[in-house]
Amino acid sequence: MTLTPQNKVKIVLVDDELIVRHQLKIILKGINADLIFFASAQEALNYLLENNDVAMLVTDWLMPDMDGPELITKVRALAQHKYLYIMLLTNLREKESLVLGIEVGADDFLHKPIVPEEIFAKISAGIRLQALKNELKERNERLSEALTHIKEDLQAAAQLNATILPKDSLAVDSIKMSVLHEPCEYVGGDLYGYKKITNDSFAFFQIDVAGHGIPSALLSFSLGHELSKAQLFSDTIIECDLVGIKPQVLNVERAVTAINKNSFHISSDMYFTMTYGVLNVETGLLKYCQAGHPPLILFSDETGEAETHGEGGFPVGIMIDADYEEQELYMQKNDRLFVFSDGIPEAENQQGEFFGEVRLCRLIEEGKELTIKDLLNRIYQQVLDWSEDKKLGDDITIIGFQWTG
Amino acid sequence: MDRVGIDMNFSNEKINSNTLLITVSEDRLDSRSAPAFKEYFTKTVSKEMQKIVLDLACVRFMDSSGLGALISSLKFINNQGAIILIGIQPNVEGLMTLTRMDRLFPQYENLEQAVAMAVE
Repeated sequence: MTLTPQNKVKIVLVDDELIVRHQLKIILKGINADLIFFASAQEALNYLLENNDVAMLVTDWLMPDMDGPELITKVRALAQHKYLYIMLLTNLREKESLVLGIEVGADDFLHKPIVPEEIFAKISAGIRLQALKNELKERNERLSEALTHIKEDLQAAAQLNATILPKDSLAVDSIKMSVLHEPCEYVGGDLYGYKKITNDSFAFFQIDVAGHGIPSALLSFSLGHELSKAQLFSDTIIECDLVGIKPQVLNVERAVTAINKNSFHISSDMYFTMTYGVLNVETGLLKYCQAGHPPLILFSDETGEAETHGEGGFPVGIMIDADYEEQELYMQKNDRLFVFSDGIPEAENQQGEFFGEVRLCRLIEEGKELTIKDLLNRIYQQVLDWSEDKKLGDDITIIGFQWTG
Repeated sequence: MDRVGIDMNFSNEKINSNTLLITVSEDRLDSRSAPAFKEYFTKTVSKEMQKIVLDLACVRFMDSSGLGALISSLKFINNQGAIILIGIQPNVEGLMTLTRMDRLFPQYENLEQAVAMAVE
């Protein structure tokens, strides 16, 4: 590597003998470095304290006030940012001396009596090594800077993503709802939404794009945008042709079929699961379509039991002509309904055991006195505890609401 | 760091002129192993292979990424063939049922039954 004058390195050389300093000066005359000589270790140390741009230190071993190993120990203790390459000049050749030199932090030895070719070659090699180290350090700094930028971008994306999600709690009419949404990375592939689409119909959906991280999040983001623009696809399921008759909700699977047709152009292995539901807030009738998404959990206020509902169905975006089915259940007054993504049942403990749906049902039963919001937080905490120090492997979303009739 | 695609455990064996057995010896088909499986499948399966028997007896857990890999494998062999699953464990079976993928991927208990189906 050729060094340009701009990155000429600084070398501090310490020897109490004038003749040695003179010899070194002559030997290193042509070397591409600034040479700074000192007659005592203390002077050199003072200089190093004030200048952290020195690349290399060459020090004699035996000196009257402070010897080479002591100087090296003190220099290493300075803990400067830059690593100083240190060479120890010595006529001691016993194994013990060399070991001590290495132990206190010397990188190499220069032997006395001085052999000019050896000195020149070793110091040149040291300069090359330092140059490479500096280059590596700069690259690392650039990389960590780039990583910081990426993280900032991701955080910005996460904030933007949050803007398309509705509020995480809602209390209107006969619905008390809360949502817990925790991406496992900055941005995730889980998405949810809800809206009152007619006077008596409350629609909600939850989507989980397969995989997680940025590709899933991008698809999730665009889906969220589409769905909110299309009013949760209410146009496809509400019939309001007849003037004077209140709008009727038709089969809800039409909404999912429409989303499936719209989503089919996405690349071959991107797909998502979803649950789309519409609750009649007058009667408690819930019509839903479960497209590969985990089942719903209905908590009965009367029996105090939580049970899963739903036969499953094709995920969205796999087959353009997939048939979707509507399923139904009736909610009684004060029953609670939960929709969750697979991140909850698939959370694993250290033994590889899954959290599972049964455990989730028991938690819902035990938490019947809690508000929905507190219950969801408790569930999340239990899932985290279950995973112990293992990082959650998937996004987690759970929507819960109570219908007060 | 995991070197995806290098130390993953997949193997194959030609059963007859149009049937190939692929054995997955991973205990998880998830976001970590799914890309390697996809790559292995597209490299291993030639166009004339009409029946792929996929032995999933070792697979204890499959997530949505794993399912995505199966689906894209099915898309890869297109309409000309079938992917038949054998040795399915309960967890994986649950996912196949939930997502109705059991309708796209026939399931048999063992290789003999799968081959018999493949010959038909």
